[in-house]
Amino acid sequence: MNVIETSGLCKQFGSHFAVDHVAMAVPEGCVYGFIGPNGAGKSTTMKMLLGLCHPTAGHVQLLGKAMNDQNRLALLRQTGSLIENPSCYGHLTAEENLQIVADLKGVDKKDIDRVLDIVHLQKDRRRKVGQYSLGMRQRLGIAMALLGGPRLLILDEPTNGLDPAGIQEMRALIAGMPRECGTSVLISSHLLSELEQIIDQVGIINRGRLLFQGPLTELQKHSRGDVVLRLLHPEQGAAVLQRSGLTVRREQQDLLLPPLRDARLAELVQALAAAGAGVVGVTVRSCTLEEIFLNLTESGVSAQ
Amino acid sequence: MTAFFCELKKARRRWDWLVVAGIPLCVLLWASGGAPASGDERASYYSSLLYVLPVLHTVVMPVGMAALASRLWDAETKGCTAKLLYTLQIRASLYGAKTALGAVYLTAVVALEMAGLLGMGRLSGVTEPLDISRLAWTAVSTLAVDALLFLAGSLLCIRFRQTLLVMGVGLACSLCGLFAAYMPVQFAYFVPFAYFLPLSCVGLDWNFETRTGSYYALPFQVPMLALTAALAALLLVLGWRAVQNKEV
Repeated sequence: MNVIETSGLCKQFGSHFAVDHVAMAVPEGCVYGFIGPNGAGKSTTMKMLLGLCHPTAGHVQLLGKAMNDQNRLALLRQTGSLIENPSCYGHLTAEENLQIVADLKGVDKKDIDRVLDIVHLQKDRRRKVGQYSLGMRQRLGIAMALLGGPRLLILDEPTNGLDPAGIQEMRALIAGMPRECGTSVLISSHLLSELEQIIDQVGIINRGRLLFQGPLTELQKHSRGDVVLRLLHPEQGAAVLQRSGLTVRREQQDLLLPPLRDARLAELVQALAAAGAGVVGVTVRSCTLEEIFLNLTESGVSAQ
Repeated sequence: MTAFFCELKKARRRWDWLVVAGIPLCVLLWASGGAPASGDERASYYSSLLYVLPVLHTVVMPVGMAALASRLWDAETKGCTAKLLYTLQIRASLYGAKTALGAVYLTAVVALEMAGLLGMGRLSGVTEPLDISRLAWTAVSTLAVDALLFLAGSLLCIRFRQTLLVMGVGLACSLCGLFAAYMPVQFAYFVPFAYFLPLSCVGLDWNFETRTGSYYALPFQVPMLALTAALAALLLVLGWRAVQNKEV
């Protein structure tokens, strides 16, 4: 089952599409990374999932049910969210903030201890939130989202404002969510590298359009880069390759070929060996995920 | 009820009660400037207080109500809490709870003021018997115009999320109200935030030659009160719609 499913989701401001026919599918039990540069439409999409802004067109399905005005709140009570900055009352303590959220969620107050433990705010629970650092507020925001053990967490750039240790801690917490709490997570970031260690599924959005969606391993297949051939006689080899219709680039002693299928590459290696080019090594370069992300977002090519 | 109790929890350490107590205190201190000095003045002191209160309200209440409305809504603006709350409660319940808490505050403001008015009468040894119906009318009409001002302040807070703007508008309304107080009463019909004046139940007949005045009872302006209530209801609906349609 998909915990989130959207079809034709659009948000238009004037003539500008902030979100343009997004069809998103977040499978249950996964951590889904929603990646895109600043202003790509991540937050707007997430806000529409939570009913915070009204879609211009399209539908949202949460936890297997089409969301409408009647069931929206019931569905969202099983969902924890943290959108942009953490929401909290600065004149109240963390505990008082959590009590308000617990009351509104209809959650037992005992759960407050559990979530404070998770985000390591037990010691500061009676301090006014106005005196907290941004990182502590962020953790409080996560604690609010975790109250009541939601089935789905929607987190918009939750590592903003955290120090490196805090980021590591947050990653570990989020990565363990599906396994330890049975919670599926939709998490956004503008940096793929920040999330690639913890996500199973990925969606890449730019200028409101979903450019790629699928398992991270699928995206990694797009990482297949140039083939590097090391030959004893590069000139001889280059002639063979050009006769085969390939564009060959020279990089010192190496020849660079565009990405090729394995069978085609094997054929070429055989031909080079037969022509006496002296094949010393064949290496397939791989793009980093960041490079793929940049390629996708810069070209705007859809790889769904 | 959960939403209302949550509003009470949010009000902790916000010192709203200082504003609630400060508004009647300000009005009463101002009114105490005309404390009776002679037996004649003591014989009409309640009437003089009921005459002067609407004028003072016209100046004090727009700022006071803007302060109360912005205290209630500013906590949400500063804490960026709308995007959390709207996933936990229906928008109407947030608006309803804030309006209900506002109603409690307004009732407290009016009750404190009326209690203060009685206290001032007692302390100054007033000899005029208190006309309960006039006191009750003053309380009800004050509450109605206060509600109008509070709901207007709430609407501005929801639409613009700017405390300073709301306070600025409140201050401008106070100045206009002051201006309206020196104009013929018909002028005030066009200035809703100065409706305290046409709703007044005591008039003053001023004799320029003897430089003395005598107070007289004015008829209760029930249609005016109904108009005030209708305008407050309209603002209530507009506020509710603003919350419903607000994208966060």
